[in-house]
Parts: sequence; C-alpha cells; structure tokens
Amino acid sequence: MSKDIHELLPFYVNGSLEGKEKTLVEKAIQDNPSLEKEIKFLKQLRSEVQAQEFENSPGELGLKRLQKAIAEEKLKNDPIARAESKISREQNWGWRAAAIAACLLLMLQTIVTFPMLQNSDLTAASGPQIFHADGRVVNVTFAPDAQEENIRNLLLAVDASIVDGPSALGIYKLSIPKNLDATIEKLRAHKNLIESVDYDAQKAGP
Amino acid sequence: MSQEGLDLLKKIGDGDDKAMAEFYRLYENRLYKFILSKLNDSFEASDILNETFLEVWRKADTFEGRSKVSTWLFGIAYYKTMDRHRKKKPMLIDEDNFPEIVDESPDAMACLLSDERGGHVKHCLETLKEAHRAVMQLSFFEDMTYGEIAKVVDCPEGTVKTRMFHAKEAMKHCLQGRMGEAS
Repeated sequence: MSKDIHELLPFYVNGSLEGKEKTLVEKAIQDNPSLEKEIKFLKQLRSEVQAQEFENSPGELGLKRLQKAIAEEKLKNDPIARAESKISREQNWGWRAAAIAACLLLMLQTIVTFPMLQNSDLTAASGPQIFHADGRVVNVTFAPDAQEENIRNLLLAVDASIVDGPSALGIYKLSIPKNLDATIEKLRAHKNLIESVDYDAQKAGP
Repeated sequence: MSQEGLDLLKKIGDGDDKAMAEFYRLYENRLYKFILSKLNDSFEASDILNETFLEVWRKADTFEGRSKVSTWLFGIAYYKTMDRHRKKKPMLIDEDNFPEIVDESPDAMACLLSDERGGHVKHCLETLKEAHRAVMQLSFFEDMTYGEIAKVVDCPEGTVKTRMFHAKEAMKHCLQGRMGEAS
C-alpha cells in the first residue's frame, strides 16, 4: 500500500478530505480491505484524543486580563488618552498631597491643643461646656453605698466640683476654688459619703 | 462559527471591545487546549493565550480572509508557542531519523479499547515530538484539513502529512508498549 494513501487516512477520518483525494482513499479501501483496520484504529485514536481532559481554561478571568492589556495598549497608542491619563494622575496626586497635608495639620493641632486641655479647662465630648479647674484639685473616693443626691448636695455645699474621674481605682478629682483646708475637713467629716481625701501640697505648689 | 468569527474580526478591526470579548469567548477554550497540549504548563499556556488574543486585537484589521479565522488564530498561537520554546531551548525536528514502525499487531487497538485508555493516550501524546503533537492535535481535535494545518504551523502541506503519519505511528508504538507493560 502506498505511503501516500496512509498519509491521507487521518484526514479521511477527520472528514476534511475532499474531491479526488477522498475518492482515491475510498477506492483504496475497496481494493484493500486491510485498510479498514487502520481506519478503525485512527477513528478510535481521534475519539480518545478528543476525550482528553485538560485543565480548565482561564475563562472570564483571562478575559479580564486581556481587557486590561488592551486598555493599556490603547492608552499607549493614543496621545490624547495618554495626556488625559497623565493629567488625571497629576490631579490624583494633588488630592493625595492635600489629604496628607490635612492629616499632618490635624495631628499637629492635636499635639498642641491636647496638653492645654489637660492643664486647665476641660471640654466635655457632648458639647462646648467648659469646667473651670481653678483653685486646688484634690483626689477623693466616694463610699460605695453613697447616693448621688447626697454627694451632689455635699459638693454644692462646699463649692467643689468634679473635674476628672473616675479613674480605674474609683478616684475622682475635685476642684476646690477657695478655703482648701476647711473644705477638706468638711469632706472628711462626711465619712458616710467620702471614703478618702488626698491632697498633695508639694505637687500642687504654692 | 467561521462566519461568526469573521464578522467579529471585522468589528474588532474597528476597535469594538464587545466584539473582542465575544471573539475571546468563542475560541478561548479550544485555543487554550491547543496551547496547553504543546506547553504542558497552565501558567505559560495562559500567558500565550493572552498574547494571542492581544495580537488579534492588534492585527484584526489586517486579516484578509485568505484563510479561515480559526486557521489564522491557531497560527498565531502556534507561532507564539514555538517562540516560547525557542527562547527556552533550541528545538530540533529530526524527521529523517524518526523510526517508521508499521506493525499490524492488534496491541495498539487493544490499548485504545482498554479501561485505562485515557491515561495511555495522554501519556503517549506527551511523548510525541512538539511538531508531531501539534499536527495530531489540529487534525483530531480541530478536524482541520492538512492545508489549514500547513498554514497554522507554517510549513509545506507534504510536511504536515508526513508529520501526521509519523505521529500516528509513534502513538501506535507507544500504545503497544503500554499494553506490553500492562500484560
């Protein structure tokens, strides 16, 4: 059997052979039935090649990648789009720079104003109400069973006000504008309400 | 599909993004299988796939319709795959020294009818030379004519027929060997 016919058989099997060559192969098969076996083998081989499983193709992810590459390509080849993109990038950079500057300003403001708040006036988070911490500040702890109403009356009576606290240990800071010693005595006298009064004269200064 | 591909290609030539997406969806799976069968590396195959479609985007307006769209497309993929191979190592296609085996033994056919035939065929396909595997893939997976394959792999039609003949003989030999191992 000529090699030419054998070379044509795979294309006869895949159905792509036409015209004279197809007729030639068909005649060869008639004349030589042994070719049937070869054709059967090729058909089975083709079927198995087609049945081969491959890993999944990139699919939509691959399309996204392609679209991104095309967008970059367009940008590279279009001077107007490139210029617009440059301007856009510069504008973005301008906004970024402004945002960074604003953050730095805010940080600076916090650093400057926070110690000032600690030293004198205290502003509640709920509003602009200002507490004057003039005078002396003493640390007190209240009795666990003290009533708020009784504490309030006592503080009003001695003209003291709470300026900070409670701390984790339950200590409040009281501002006492005048008559420090007498006020401390009065507070200590109300043992049912005040557990302790602590005033560090050295720390407080003159 | 051929007319659909041609219509899409014309639109792509005019810069139509949607047509490009449709074209990608139409051919992506088949093309990926073809590339993967030659590279056996899914990452590299994905790269080549992307490069091939990018080339389609660039060259769509130059397509003259002298071949089928699929022939043109697979030709780009084949060239890029070969180029990748060349960059890695020189390829030698030594057809003259290929052993011609004409064996009427039924073992090869028996192998194709065995339960493990899928694994045997996969193994034997991998042992084929690159050029032979490409021709077998295009003949039996894409059902291309030898003329179309010649355009894809850029060689004379006679060479395609010879490569296919050798590929078939090599598969037969390999499958016989697999049956020999199994028995």
